Amino acid sequence: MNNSDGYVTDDGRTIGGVVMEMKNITLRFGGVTAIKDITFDIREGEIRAIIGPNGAGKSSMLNVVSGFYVPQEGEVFFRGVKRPPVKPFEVARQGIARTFQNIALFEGMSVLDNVMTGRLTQMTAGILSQAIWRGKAEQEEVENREICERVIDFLEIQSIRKTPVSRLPYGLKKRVELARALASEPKLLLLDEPMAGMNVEEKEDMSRFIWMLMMSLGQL
Amino acid sequence: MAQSDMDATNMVSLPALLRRNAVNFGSSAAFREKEFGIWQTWSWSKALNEAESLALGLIELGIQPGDFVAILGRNRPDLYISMVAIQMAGATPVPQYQDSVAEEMEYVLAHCGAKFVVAGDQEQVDKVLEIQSNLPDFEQMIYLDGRGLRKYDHSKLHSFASVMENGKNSGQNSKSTLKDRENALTYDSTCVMLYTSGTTGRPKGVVLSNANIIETAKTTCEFDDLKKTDEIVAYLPMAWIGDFIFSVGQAMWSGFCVNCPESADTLSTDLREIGPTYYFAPPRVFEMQLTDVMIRMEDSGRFKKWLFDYFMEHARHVGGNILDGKSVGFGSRIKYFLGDLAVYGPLKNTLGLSKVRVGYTAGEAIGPEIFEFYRSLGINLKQLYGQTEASVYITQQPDGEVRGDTVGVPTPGVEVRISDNGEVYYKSPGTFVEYYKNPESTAETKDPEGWVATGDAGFFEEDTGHLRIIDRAKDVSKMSDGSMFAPKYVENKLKFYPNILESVVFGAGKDRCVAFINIDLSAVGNWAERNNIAYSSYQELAGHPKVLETIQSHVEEVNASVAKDKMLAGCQVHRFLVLHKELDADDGELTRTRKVRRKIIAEKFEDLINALYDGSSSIYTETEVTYEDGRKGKISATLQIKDATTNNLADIAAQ
Repeated sequence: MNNSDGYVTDDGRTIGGVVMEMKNITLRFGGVTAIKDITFDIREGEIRAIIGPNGAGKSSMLNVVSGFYVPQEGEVFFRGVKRPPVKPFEVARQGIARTFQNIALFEGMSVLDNVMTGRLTQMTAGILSQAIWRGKAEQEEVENREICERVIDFLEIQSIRKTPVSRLPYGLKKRVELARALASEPKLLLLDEPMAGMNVEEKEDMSRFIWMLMMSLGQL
Repeated sequence: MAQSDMDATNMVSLPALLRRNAVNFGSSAAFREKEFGIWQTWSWSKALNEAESLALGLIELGIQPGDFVAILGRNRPDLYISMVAIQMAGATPVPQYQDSVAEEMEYVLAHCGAKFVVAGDQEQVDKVLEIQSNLPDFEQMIYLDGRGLRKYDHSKLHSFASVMENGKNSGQNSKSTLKDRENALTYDSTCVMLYTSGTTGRPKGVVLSNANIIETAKTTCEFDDLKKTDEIVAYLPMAWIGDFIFSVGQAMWSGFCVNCPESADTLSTDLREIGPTYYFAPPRVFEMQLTDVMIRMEDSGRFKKWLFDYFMEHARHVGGNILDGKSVGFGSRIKYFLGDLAVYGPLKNTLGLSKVRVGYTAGEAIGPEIFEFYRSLGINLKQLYGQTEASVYITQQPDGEVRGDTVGVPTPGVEVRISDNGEVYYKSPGTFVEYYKNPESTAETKDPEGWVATGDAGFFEEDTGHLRIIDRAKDVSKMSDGSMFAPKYVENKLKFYPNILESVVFGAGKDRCVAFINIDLSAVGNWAERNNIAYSSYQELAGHPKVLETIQSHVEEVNASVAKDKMLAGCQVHRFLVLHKELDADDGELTRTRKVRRKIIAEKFEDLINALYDGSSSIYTETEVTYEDGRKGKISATLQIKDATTNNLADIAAQ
């Protein structure tokens, strides 16, 4: 496997070097082997699909990538560096964002607030500054809000910006989850069953967003 | 008008008005648009700068005087500014309906030979690229929103920003060219070309001169005292004459601010945030808003519902009179004031209509109940009557003389007469120059003296001088027994029920009338939800026995009301069916302004009409439908045909 060279696809897209590499991953829960000796890589600018029947270990694999599970065997390389066992929030800081198969949003909060949580890893203002809303906290909020607004514009969810998530239909919740993941400006985006339970129209929309994201390499 | 003192005589074109406004109003807001969650403002001077840069950029691209430039997209300040810039460069803007499918666009773009296109986004760019091989005159396209266009072939594509940038950096040559072209504009130069929606046949390109637009703007701004401090929300299609007059003509003349919503879905929020003082909506929008209010009131708690009903009942009695400044008892006024605190005020605020000083509705007849509802809340909603060929205004209602059944008195400067066969003719400063490349139609519509046939039948009320419109002259005909057949009269009555979105009545030359009904999905869907009726599709809901029962009761109520009118008693609906699909502009059944195309519907659903007349109780049918992206599909259904009770004229007389 060559790590550095990219290639050009039939339709003229340039695929860059390897971003993430999984080598001989094996994951066991007690006596059950969920993943056995899996090796694959993910390159810049490409969509890598993991497919399989129920219980094949797709979600487990994503959980390994995002650092939820630590595999018993094998190595994970992120941007050329071997990754030691890490906490999920550290993975998030490294630039990996994900969505969940069973939507994991803050139901009582508005869409905008949910999307803003995607920016939390980038915020450094202290609790006091946040509480009195002066200086750094205010400036940070404005900067981060702008990034979130770009995501909201991209995903065409302006009309539900202030709506509590609990009031949204399933398809839109999925889109809000994607928005939150995008707000963190990830290098690697993990989508766990992004279209499960959607109708045709919602699926078409979601495919369009994913495709456009890839075409623009995440530059909204 | 004070602000127009500055050499008012030289105000002969939109660019001249823009320059005047940039001098007189400078930093005050000309346009606003919500983007990324914040209202962004264009001052008059910024608007002028952008228009100049864009005009120069267009000259660099090779635009020539007399060229046509199509504008495709939703209402955005940049697109309004481009219309002025195009005129500066000596060309003519041709705004298009943004939801037209590629085929429809092809006809119009080929007809006017548009050399340039300004497109809002990828969707519009795609449509033009799809048909470009059939557009020999097409040369360059400018896009506003570049999302998704990165990998496109950019030999004919330019971003709006880059064209403006090129214009800014252009040399002296282009600048003097621009100056010459702008100076060459006169009152008779073409200001804009707008295509009629085409209720019958192909759309026609209506050429309107600067004089048409500016004279109309001048008189109508005076009529309603529109000022620089007014605010409007521009959300109706840019291709429609109304939007051009309100958002360009009147806005440029009086200097008020045009606000563009963030997207079609956010309109209600944006309306609330802006609080327009001058508002226009076709009856359909008011109907939908009212349906929405009623649905939400049905879902509300018992106390709130009671409060709403109680005060709305009071408003119905006195609200309109208070608005018209008529005498109303002191107690009633106090009660109305309380109602305003508890119901009317908050409701108007929710609808975004709190600050409306002048509101208009036109395009079709509005239901008297709907019209009264808004007026009783204290919203100064009025009616006007007009058409593209007249630069909108033919008649309008002055404050204090507002009624549901008339369309008002002739607008200042407009002469109206009724011909012997009842058709309305007018002559006005706004009368169009010609139909582009269509002298026959021009001659048919406009006589050498300048009188224009509207195609509508109407009469003046003797005591008030108000004009009343009966129906489209072409639609009014006779039934087999010789009695009058006025389908729209009956259809409007049917449409006033929230459950009925659209209806088409047939009966010309027949012995009795039959009707197609379209249910309103939001109203009927909500009713189904409250009554635990499950449905999986529009079609299933439309065919539900209980829905048919409800519709039948509506039809029978309408029959009873129609029967009271001696002249039109023959128009009672004997049999009807509920259509399995919504009538749609994409399928050619409605115009882009959502008017029914009777003839096309009659041809397309001939089998259904036959079934309505041959007495069968159900019919199987297959219909071709067009999806929004232009693909075609087929839907089939078995429709139930219902008989409705009709009333005999003699019985009513006996009662």
